[in-house]
Amino acid sequence: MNDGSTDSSAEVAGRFADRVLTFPSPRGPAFARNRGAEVAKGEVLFFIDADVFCYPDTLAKVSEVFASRPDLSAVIGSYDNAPPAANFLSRYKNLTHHFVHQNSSSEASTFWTGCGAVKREVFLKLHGFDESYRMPSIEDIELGYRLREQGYRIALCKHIVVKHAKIWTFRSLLSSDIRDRAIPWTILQLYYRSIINDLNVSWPQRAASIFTCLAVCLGALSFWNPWFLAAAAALMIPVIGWNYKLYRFYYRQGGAWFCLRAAAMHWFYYVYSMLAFGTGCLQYLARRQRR
Amino acid sequence: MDAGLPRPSARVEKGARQVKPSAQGLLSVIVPFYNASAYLQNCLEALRRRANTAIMN
Repeated sequence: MNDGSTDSSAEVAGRFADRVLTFPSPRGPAFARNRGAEVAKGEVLFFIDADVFCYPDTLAKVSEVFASRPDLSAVIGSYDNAPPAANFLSRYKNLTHHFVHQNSSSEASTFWTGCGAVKREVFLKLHGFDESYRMPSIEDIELGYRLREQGYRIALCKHIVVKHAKIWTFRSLLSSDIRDRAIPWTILQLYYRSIINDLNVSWPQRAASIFTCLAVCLGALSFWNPWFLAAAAALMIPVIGWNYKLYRFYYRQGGAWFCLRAAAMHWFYYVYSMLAFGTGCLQYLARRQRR
Repeated sequence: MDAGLPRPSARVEKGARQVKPSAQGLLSVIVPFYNASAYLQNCLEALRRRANTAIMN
């Protein structure tokens, strides 16, 4: 689905794909995937991002899961633990994503198009992705909410893994996490009045966000009184405890230096996620008042 | 990209798993992209290889 590319993407796709649909200007992945679903012939639609590479057995495993679990309407997989991009931020982000999926409930609460499959019949019945998302955002999560709301089951199959080749920069990470994910997801949760307790929005993760923000505030006050620094450090002890498995995973993947930097980045993630949550709440209230 | 996934009599590549006969549902692979030429070739090549293997088998 060529969503208005201006580089050589369409030509590259033409060499490999059975069919390339080209849209004159970018309309967003929700629109593009929906058009793809309309012309697809398969019983199952498998969505994958352009920067994701599947393993030799990925497609077979997806098919196998649907064959052995007729109760399922959708399946999502996981990124692997060997992202090819070598810079620190890419390793941190892609490995964190892998860890979150590998340690979440197999009974999924959301859908995910990085590696996700859904029965075409169900997808069309729900009118596909919400095309009001004009940029890559949480259109997949939103579909997951509707699937669950209608009683369809989604499985997170941790043995279905793909490789995420995205090269993250500081700017792309912040804009993706805040503008494209955290704020719209907050609005979505408030709209559905459904706070899920899974993935990176589990209750321990929410508590860790609050504790980290409080610790930052106390740390700032330590310029006035050094004892506040001790209080800030005390607050971070449970945060480290809740994330012990994650930080151990960082250590195993990249050693002590990588683990330290990744943990610091993870704390920064808590702070900006909390700010994004507040912004999302305000935006939700503003939208309600406008109605 | 539509891939009829491995048939029961399929010759399975080393490391790949045999799929049960009931797993023959047709899978359509949908890849949206925008200015992704840096990634796209590897992504689609990997998919194409799998689809070709499945169809040939």
